[in-house]
Amino acid sequence: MSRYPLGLHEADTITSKTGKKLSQITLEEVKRGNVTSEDIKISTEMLKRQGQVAAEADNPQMAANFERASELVDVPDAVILDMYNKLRPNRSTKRELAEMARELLEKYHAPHCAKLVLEAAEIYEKRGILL
Amino acid sequence: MEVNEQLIRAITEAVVRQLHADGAQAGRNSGIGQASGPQAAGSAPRSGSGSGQGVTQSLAGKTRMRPKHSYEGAERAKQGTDPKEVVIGVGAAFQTEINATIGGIPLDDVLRNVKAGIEEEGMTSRVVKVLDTSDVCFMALQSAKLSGSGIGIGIQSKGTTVIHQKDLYPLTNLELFPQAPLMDLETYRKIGKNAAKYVKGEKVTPIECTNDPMVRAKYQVKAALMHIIETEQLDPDKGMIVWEGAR
Amino acid sequence: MRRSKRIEALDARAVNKDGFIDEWPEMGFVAMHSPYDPKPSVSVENGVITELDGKKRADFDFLDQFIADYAIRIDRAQQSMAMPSLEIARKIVDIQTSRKEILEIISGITPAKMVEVINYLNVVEMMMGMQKMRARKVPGNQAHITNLKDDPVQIAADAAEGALRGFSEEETTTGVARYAPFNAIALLIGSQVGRKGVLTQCAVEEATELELGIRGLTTYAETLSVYGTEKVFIDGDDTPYSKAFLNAAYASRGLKVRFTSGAGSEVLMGSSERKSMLYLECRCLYVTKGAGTQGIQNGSVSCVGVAAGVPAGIREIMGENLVAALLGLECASSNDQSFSNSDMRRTARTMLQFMPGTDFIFSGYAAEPNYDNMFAGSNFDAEDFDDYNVLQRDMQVDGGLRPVTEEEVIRVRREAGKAVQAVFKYLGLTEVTDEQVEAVTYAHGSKDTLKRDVASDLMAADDLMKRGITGVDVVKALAESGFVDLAESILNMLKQRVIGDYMHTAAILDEHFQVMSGVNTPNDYMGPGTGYRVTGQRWEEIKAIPHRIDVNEF
Repeated sequence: MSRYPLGLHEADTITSKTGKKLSQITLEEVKRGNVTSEDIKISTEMLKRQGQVAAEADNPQMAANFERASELVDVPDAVILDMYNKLRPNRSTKRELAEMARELLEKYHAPHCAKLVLEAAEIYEKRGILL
Repeated sequence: MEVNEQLIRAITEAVVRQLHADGAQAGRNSGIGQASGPQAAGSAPRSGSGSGQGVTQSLAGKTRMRPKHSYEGAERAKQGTDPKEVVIGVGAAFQTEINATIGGIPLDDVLRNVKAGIEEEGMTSRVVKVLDTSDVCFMALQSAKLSGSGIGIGIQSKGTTVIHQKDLYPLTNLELFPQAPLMDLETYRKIGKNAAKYVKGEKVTPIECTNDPMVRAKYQVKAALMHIIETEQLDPDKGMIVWEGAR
Repeated sequence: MRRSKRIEALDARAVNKDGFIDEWPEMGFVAMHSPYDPKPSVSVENGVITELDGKKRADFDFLDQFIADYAIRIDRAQQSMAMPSLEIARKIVDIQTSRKEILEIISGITPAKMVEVINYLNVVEMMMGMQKMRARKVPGNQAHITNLKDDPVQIAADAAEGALRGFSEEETTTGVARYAPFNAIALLIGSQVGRKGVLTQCAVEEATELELGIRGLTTYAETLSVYGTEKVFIDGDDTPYSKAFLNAAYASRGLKVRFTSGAGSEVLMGSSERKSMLYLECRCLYVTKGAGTQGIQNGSVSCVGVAAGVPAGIREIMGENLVAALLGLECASSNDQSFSNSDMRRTARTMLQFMPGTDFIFSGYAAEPNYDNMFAGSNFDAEDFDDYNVLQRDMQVDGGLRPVTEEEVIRVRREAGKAVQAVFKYLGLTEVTDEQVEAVTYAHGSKDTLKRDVASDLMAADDLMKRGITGVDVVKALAESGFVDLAESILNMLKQRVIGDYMHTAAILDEHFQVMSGVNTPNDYMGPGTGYRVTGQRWEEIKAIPHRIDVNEF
């Protein structure tokens, strides 16, 4: 069980997406060029822990969001932007959304996100907002 | 279609498998069976906004602002090829149900000035009426997509205007003029000029923003009514039609 | 007719310049209850909601389906729906019933049931409900930081002053859309000059906003708009599913997010499906809850002219703020858009959120004169700062702001301007001159500042995006330019996204970058003698308004 706020109680155990410890993200390291924008991104592990905090606070919807988010950590920025745009109304065919779900599932091991996309594909078809 | 369904089914199964493998919940098992909720409490709570009889106007049952205009036989606007053109897409009620902007400027003059601005920069204009959306960003984007140059202008009948480019996100824009009551004919002329400059690929200085912090208090209800008039005239099957309405 | 001098005087009053309209449910001009609103109902089969508020699953639109599948606690639906709406309404006001108990009951009811519950409450009861249901123990406040010229130096200076005055969050937007990255960077820098730990955002088109966030040029996002009917949702270029994905995308980069909704948008966009504003807003809030985001900005927001135009519209606005709190969402309760020409009316409207306190009383108090407010004017602006401080002192209420001295204001404005100047120089953006910084330091608004070369600014802003400049580059630029303390602060803001604590409900940061949210500092109000009280240090601060009579000098 995690003790919230984790930044206060469990700072030593926190690492970024790239595995950098919080204590390694310092101004000196930035100046030396040893901290990149990738180093200031959250890790899958931290999202899972924050999801537990949400679940314990009786907020399963937020926990589910952090679960989806944890699956998207390794999806590149450009791909995320592209997927979001394809999920907007009248942007995709059903096949394109199905392919997107497959990519999420097989390439990024993101089953919860894939499920959301598949559900969208079904209801978009029913409501006539596919291409 | 067949392929789609198979693909969806296959992926769905794979998703479910993986979710189960992860020990996560695939569906939303709630543990309760069929449960029908109670109907509304005997008497629905009264809204505190009861309209006293004879005090406020009864609008109940009124479903339209204006009769439906027929666009029977209207000519569908064609995809442009002229790299020098700017397509101006006007709203569904433009010059038919609505003849002046929310600020009271005649729409004939609005259109004349936008066109003049475009022509002063050596480009050409083409006017279409957008009958499948009344959202100004989508109107402008569709006009840009129809335009041979990829630059379009959307003008709602209440005067709100957007300059758009065909490859931008719908709700972004090159320039947006959200406060229609503040617009004057000089601004509409500048909009035409700037749109033409975007076509030419020049370094464009956007038209200076104007702002009236009380605009919402004075005009928003009227804006809503004008938008209802515009929206109820939509005719999605007709799409975008040729409209040389400037008389 | 010979005119009455009395009536003539009344006709000339500011309030009569406001727009009012009778109720017209067919077009959605109805606040609390439309005869076409559905009756509450729910059916569950095999763990799936098959009927929601009188509609069968086969007839669900995308909002119904998302709400049924994601928002409602199916395990609690049966019990909660069986409880009479009047009883739930009474529990909301009852000081013996805890916030936690209410949250559990509410999590199982449907949108139509929520409308029934809220209709039982008058505005004072709504305020009592908010006092208990607000997520965070201490109320907060948010500023709008914008100007007509999109001048980044002024943005930084106003952000610094706003932070000094006590705002916990600051939001900017643009006049010209392509200015977004400049505004975002200037806000990020300026905010930390005024008070460490202030969160910042830039409200622009969804995909652009996400990109700015991912790059670390903003520290949270708010303008994820949701709508109460399918047609308007599509006009807004989104669906509940795309918004849920977007929400997860933000969280995957460790950013705090809240959604935005509010009464009147469906009316203004011409598609209300004959429903009341309250019912449509409930649908928005259920979508928000279902997407798993921590909070909402609501309270009619930019369509307040419509909501305020109908009878009971201001009551409805407070009602929808309360619905947000009842769903356990952080509520940034609007008050951010001008809606009345009458000072009396605009102040009265704000008291509904000010007195009980919300997570953010304003979700945009204009921290510049309203002519510079690019959200088309807020309900309160920079010229109201002292009035607001006096209201806090009069009523011993914490509205999130504090009095400041002229010396402090000048100091932080200059430092913010200088910092932006240095960063722009280091990153090879457009020049900021010493004269500009000086003008902005002493300015009230953009009428007092110098002109910028807009075309060059826009080219530099485009170039900045193409070069992939990020928050880390800003930190480095500050550090290399001698602004070490400021660089450290922005790095600390960036580190929040590695930790993720501030993604939880109603989180803000104190000046030591420590999180205060509904999780670690929850609202524990249960009647007199409990909950947050304005005392001690904070009360001393509120008392110290300028322009007090100095008895020793009298």
